[in-house]
Amino acid sequence: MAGVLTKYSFINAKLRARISQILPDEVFHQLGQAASVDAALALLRDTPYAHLEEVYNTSGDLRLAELELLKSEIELYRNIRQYLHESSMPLVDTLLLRFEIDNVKNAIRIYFDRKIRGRLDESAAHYILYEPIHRPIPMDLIVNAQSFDEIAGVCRGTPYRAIVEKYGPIVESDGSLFRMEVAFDHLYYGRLTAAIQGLTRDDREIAVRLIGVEIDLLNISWIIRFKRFYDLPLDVIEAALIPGGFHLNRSTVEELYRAQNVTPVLQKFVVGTYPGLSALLASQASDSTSRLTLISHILEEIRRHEVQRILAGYPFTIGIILAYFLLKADEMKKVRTILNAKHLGRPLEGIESVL
Amino acid sequence: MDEPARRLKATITQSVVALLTILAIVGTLFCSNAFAQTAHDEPTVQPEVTQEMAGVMKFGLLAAAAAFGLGAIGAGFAISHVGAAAMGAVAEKPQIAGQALIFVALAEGIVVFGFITALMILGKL
Repeated sequence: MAGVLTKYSFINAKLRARISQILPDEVFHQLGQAASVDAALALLRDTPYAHLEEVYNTSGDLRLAELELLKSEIELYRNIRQYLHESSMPLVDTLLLRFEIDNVKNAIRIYFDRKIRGRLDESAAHYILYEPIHRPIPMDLIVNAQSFDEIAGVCRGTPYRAIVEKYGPIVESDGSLFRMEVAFDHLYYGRLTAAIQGLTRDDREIAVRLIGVEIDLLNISWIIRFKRFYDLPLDVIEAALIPGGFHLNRSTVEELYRAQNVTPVLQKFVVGTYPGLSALLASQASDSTSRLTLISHILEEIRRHEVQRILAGYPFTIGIILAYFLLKADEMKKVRTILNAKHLGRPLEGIESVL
Repeated sequence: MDEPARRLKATITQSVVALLTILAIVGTLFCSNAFAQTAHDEPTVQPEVTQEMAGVMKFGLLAAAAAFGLGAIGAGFAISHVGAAAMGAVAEKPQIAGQALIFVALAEGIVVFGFITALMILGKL
């Protein structure tokens, strides 16, 4: 069995150097102040996002530039994967699986809109990745399918087939993709949890903590959204929640569901684990949308805390690799958000509050 | 060629020149000492080696070999990791090449300690 030095000395030093090159907050502040999408893209010329300008200038389509950003993110995982010790590969493969699942979900959404809802949006099919991510799945056949049976046939040999076969009739009867998408998310997080179990004890502890916080983040936003916007009962929400969260237990879920204002519940949840964050919760938001934004800020802050904790700790663990992926995803999300805000002509204050 | 790559090339060139200069100086000094020693044609008297002295010498030589050998193995082990990590980081950020080389040199120091210890042991024999 290889030691931690053999596994992590090279890749973690490499990633530490890359982490130091992640765009600082000043760059995002400058991007936020840019007058237009073109001006923002011009500011990204000396960064790893320089290619976005070319894509945008050629097509004039920001969504294509976003697709290019997604390809870069996938390429990032593939690039790191080639330097990894074989014991860490299954986890990164599973992280890569998320992109494939999202891509399949997007393709099914296009089919659903066209076939079940009867909406025809020709352009949507241009924003799907047709190159194989993990397995060779012909996305064009999913997009242009005539039934869920046909989609299930296309997904033969993949774990998606069972989900499509099971939830296809439910989607048709409900007129909503909700349950199928939840099943896809469960598949991803189930695989991720299994991959984490295959790690060594030290790596497992770190991965459980980091991925657990991500699951908490997703679950809390789901509880709030499902209750506020879909008014789903507690048992349906509980069934939809992803198991494996780090902090969120059943009683907190119930409390969050019943609370009219979730901030006090979150405050109780945060005070014990992240005392530094209670100040953020002290700021009262008046309407539900700004409360939701505040909550997502707090959860992002929790994740940032965890990443900082990993970066300041013992260097020879899988934590540095996961922290790098999270920081890079965060950077790409900021770029995407700013470009979209510029495209939609949102004011500077609005952009900075989201960042 | 961009600025960091040019700086890395300049650092490597400077290091190589410095190393060759030190090797040349050390080589010249040792060679002159050796010639100075061979210039004297004085007859040398071999001391009589007792069994006890032979035992001391045997273990002394073994200790010197172990000090140097284990030091070299330790340094090799350390450099394999430090060097790999350093090269990984330098590939991403060439401007830290100087700092990275310091860490490789620190690992290399282990064999130097072993070498000095071996010399000290041999000096006592």
